Amino acid sequence: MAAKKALKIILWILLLVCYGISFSKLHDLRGNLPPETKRAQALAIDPTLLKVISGPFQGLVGDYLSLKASIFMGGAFEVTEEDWEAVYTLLKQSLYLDPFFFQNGYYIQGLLSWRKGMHEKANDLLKYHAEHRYWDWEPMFYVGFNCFYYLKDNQSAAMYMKQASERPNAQPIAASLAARLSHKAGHSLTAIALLKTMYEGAKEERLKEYYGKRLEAQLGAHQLEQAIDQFKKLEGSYPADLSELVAGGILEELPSNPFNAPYDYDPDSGKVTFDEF
Amino acid sequence: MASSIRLVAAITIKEGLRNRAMQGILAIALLLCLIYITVIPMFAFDTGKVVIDLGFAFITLSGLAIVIFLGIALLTADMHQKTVCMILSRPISRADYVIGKYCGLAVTVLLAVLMITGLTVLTSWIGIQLIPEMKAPRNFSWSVLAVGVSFQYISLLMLMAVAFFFACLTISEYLSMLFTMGVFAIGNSLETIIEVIQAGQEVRLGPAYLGILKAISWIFPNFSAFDFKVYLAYGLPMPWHQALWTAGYGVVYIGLLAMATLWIFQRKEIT
Repeated sequence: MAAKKALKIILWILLLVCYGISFSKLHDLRGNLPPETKRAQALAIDPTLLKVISGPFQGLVGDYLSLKASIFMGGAFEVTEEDWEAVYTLLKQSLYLDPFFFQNGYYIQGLLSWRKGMHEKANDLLKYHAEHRYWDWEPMFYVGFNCFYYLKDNQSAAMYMKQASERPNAQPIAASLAARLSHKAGHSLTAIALLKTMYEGAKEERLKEYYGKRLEAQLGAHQLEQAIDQFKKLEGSYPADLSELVAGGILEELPSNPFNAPYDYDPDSGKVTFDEF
Repeated sequence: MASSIRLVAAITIKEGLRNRAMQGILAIALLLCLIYITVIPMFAFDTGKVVIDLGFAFITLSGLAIVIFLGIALLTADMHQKTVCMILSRPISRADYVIGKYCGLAVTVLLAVLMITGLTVLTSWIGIQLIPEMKAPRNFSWSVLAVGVSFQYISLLMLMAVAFFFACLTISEYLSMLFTMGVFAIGNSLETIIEVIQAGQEVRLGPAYLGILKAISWIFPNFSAFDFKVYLAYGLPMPWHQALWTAGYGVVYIGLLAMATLWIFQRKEIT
C-alpha cells in the first residue's frame, strides 16, 4: 500500500518536472521563432461574411481584430508589404463589425494612411468611420488631412475640414484650415498647421514621435522655401543648389531632415520636398 | 393552477441553482473580472465599449449555456427518467408543468444575468478608479444599461421558448440542443443576410431566393433586433419607439411558441 502511494508521488513529481522542462523549452523555442513566422495574418474573409458568422459577438470579434492589428504594429520586426495588407484587412474587418470604434480610425490614420499605395484605401475606410462617428470631429479631420496632404485634393479637404469644424467640441483650427484650404493658401503653412494639430492630438507616444518627425521635416522645408524666395529676390533666379543658400549667407546651415535624407529641391520651381519613406 | 405553477417553478429554480452549470458560470464570472482588468489596458480608446462587449458576450454565452445544458437537460431528463409521470400524477396539469418549468428556468437565467451584470459593473467601477486607461462609456446612463440588459434577457427567454418547443417535440436532448443552436445562429444572422442580399453589392441572388429568406424570417426569431448594446457603448440616443416594438415582438413570439409547445406536450404520449 505504502509502495503504491510512494509510486504515485514519484509519478506526480516526475510528471511535474517533465512538464516544467517541456514548458520552458517550448517557451524558449516560441520566443526565438524566425521573423518569417511572425507575419501579420488576416483571414481572407469578406467583412460581410464575418458579420454574419460573428452574430451576437460582432463587437467582441471586432475588438479582437483591432487588437490583433495593433499588437502587430508594435512588433519589433521588419515589416513587409504583405504585413501592411494584412493589417489593412484586419482593420477593415474590425471597422465593418463596429464602425464606431475609434481605435480603428486612429490606427488607420496613424499607420496606414501614409503608406504608399494605401492613401485612398485608408481614406475610404476613414470616411466610413467618420460618417458613423458623427459626434466626433477627429475622424473627419483625418479625412480632410489626407485629402490635402496625400491625395492633393484641396477642394475635398476643405469640405471635410468644414464638416469636422461643425462637429461638437471641434478644435477651432479645423474651421480656419477649411477656410485656408478653400482659398488655396500656401501649401507649406497649411501643412504645418495641420501637422501641428495632429501632433498635439496624438495620444500615443509612437504616433506622436512620428508626427513630430513629419512636422520637423515640414518646418525645415518651409524654412528652405523662404530662404529660396529671398535668394531669388536678391539674385533674380532660384539657386541651382541648396548649398548656395549657405554660401550666399542667407542661412547659417541647412536644416536637417529627420528622415535621414537630404531635402529634394527642384531648381526650376524653387519647391522643396522631403521623402518620408 | 397558479400554485402548481409556482411549485414546479420553485423546484426548477432549486434544481437550477444546485446544478454545476450555475456554479461554473459564477466561477467564470469571477474570472471575467480578472479578464477586464488585464485585457482593457491593451486598448487605447473606447475602453468602456470593450467592457460592454465582453460583459454582454458573457451574458449571451452563459444564458446560452443555461438554456442548452440546463433547460433542455432538465426537461428531457424528466421525460426519460419518467419523473414527469410522477409529477403529472399529482394535481398538476401538463400546461402547469411546462409553464412552471419555463418560469423557474427564467428566474434562474435572470439570476445569472443579474450576477454577471453586477460583477461587470463592480469590476468596471474598480477598474476606472485604479486603471487610468479604463474609462466609462460616453454619455453613460443607468437606464440605457438596464434596457440593454433587459433586451438581452428577453432574447434569452425567446431562445428558452425555442428550446422548450424542441424538447417537447423531439424528447431527445441532443436533437433539441442541435435545433436550438441552429435557431440561435439563424436568428442572429438572418437579418444581416437579407440586408446584404437586398443591398445587392456583394451578393447577387434572385428575388425568389430573397422572398424565401424573407418568409423564413417570419418564422425564426430575430435575435439581432434585441442587441441594444451599441447605444450603451457609444452613448447614442436610445430609440425608445423601436425598443417598445421590439419588446412587444419578443413577448408575442414567446407567447406563440409557448402555445405551440403546450399544444404538442398535451398530445404527447408519456408512459
